[in-house]
Amino acid sequence: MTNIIDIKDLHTNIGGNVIHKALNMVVKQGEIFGIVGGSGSGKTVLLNAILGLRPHQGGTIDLFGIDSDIVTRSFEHKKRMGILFQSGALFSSLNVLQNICVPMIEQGGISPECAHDLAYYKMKIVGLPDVAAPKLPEELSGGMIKRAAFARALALDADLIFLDEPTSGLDPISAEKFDQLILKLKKNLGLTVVMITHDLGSLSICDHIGVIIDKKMITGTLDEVRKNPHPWIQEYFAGARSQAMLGAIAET
Amino acid sequence: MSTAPKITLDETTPDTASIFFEGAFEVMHWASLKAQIETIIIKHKKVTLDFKGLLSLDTFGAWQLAYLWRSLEKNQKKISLINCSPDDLTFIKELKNFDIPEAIILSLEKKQISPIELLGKGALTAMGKFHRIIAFLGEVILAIGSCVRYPSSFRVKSFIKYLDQTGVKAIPIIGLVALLIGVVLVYQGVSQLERFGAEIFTVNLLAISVLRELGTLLTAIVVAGRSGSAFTAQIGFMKLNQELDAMKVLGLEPMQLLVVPRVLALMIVMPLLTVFCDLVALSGGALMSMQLIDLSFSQFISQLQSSFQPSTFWVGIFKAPVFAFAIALIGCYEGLQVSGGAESVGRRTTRSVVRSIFMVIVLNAFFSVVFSILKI
Repeated sequence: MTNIIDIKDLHTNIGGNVIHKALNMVVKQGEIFGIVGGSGSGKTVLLNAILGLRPHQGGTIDLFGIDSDIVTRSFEHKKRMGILFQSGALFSSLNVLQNICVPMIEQGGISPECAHDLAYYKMKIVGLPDVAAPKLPEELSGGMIKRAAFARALALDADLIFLDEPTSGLDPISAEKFDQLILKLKKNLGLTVVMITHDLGSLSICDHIGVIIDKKMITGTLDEVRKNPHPWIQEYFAGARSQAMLGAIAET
Repeated sequence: MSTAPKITLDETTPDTASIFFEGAFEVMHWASLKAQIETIIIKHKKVTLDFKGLLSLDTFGAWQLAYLWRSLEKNQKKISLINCSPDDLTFIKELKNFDIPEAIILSLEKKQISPIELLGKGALTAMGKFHRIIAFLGEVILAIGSCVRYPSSFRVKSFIKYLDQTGVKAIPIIGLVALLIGVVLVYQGVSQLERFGAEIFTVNLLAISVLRELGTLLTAIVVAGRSGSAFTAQIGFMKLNQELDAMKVLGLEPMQLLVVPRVLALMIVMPLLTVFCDLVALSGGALMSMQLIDLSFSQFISQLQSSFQPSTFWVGIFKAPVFAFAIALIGCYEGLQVSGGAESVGRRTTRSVVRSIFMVIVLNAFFSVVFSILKI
């Protein structure tokens, strides 16, 4: 499998504070990669560096085998990536259907009439009800915002989807449904998914997990990472909540 | 880069037409695909769709193929698909049978409202707004009253912060505007009055127009644009961020915390800024008069002293806190009305500035009438 994301020796600083130091990360095509880390460990900073929203001070980031600087400046390559921001980041002046249409019309050059039909199709894929279509983001519940933002991220059939805490703020049933949706779309559309999450349930659907600790990344499958002796990882997985969650996952 | 899609029509075989699909049917080739599909006209009754050369298919490509399939069916053609992978076939079929419900299209369209309904709605909205702003005025007065009664509830730090934000930081822009207005008034005054040999009265014109009307009006307009809009945006964003709800839950009163310090700070700062504006405008006028009509500074001062009564100055200063109250009231009210998202903040901020300036001009006209009746 080819590497969709290949990060080598990444260094990032914010205001003189070192966030990442010699961080390495590889995401293969068609896998779900989960990024975990304590609050303030630099998960979102890493995502922003990959997306070209924040400059990095050292190392290389390759996306689709090409330098990320080129990819994030190229209109054609940008179409291959979709992102679900933590807060949804839906355009507040547009309704749900129009939000999903934006990438299709602006990036894809699709005619507005066709974009409406296709946006409705994307709405159905992510399980949004019909009543959500004419609603403005302010009128939506948290779960609906996530789904609408996910539909927008999927609008152009991107190859690579970034999800920043997709299940945060969702009730366990919605979170579970969202995880299943990610799995289903990965299978049906062959998506590569990079997901920042604190949710152990979501981690269970990941093929690989990268834990950001001490400014670096420890990578492996969920079982491999759990066996890592690093105190933070042990504390993370050994906590009462984590144990209960892992037990529940094992039962299912 | 993926291979450009190509659609070839072959009607050489009797009775059956064949359409061959080659290349990548993807979003990046949307326009070319659309153009190719729209030009297909088939005479034969039977049509074979051959997918042998199809390299890739995404939602957009499948959508175009589904569209073609549907339009062929509409023209009563008999269709057969060959060399199509089961996945692609399921995908195209799914899109072919997929239709956006009429109800959704209707819900997206703006409803036509009759002019009578529009008039009624407009009147009701206007009445509701009037009601709310009067209620808000009452709330502000009560909150100020409460601060007078319980001085410990007054937020001194916020008050000082707003004195600085709305007053001290506004000095440069007000100074610049006032200087230029003083210069322009004298320049225009001289050019008109010299025809009658009355250019010395330009000083009178300058003094009365600046001290009585323009000083206060200019300050109010700058303050409305600078501070009124800032009040709306600040309070509006806080409301979106649920900070107002947090305050209420903590037992803090947003009126006391946010509105009263702003209103009082602006009411104190405006007369001071007006005095500053008057001084700078007169100085600008003095500079220009010295240049244009060869007045010495002492001549300018003595002409100035004889040109107006102290009441002219006080009229201008008296109006300033009233204008300030109106600006702060509208700014805070609009901020508290923000709901939804960023667009609402923008809309309310614009409305706040427009309404403040409108209100200032209306109040100014009202004062002019009242003062003329009172012969001040």
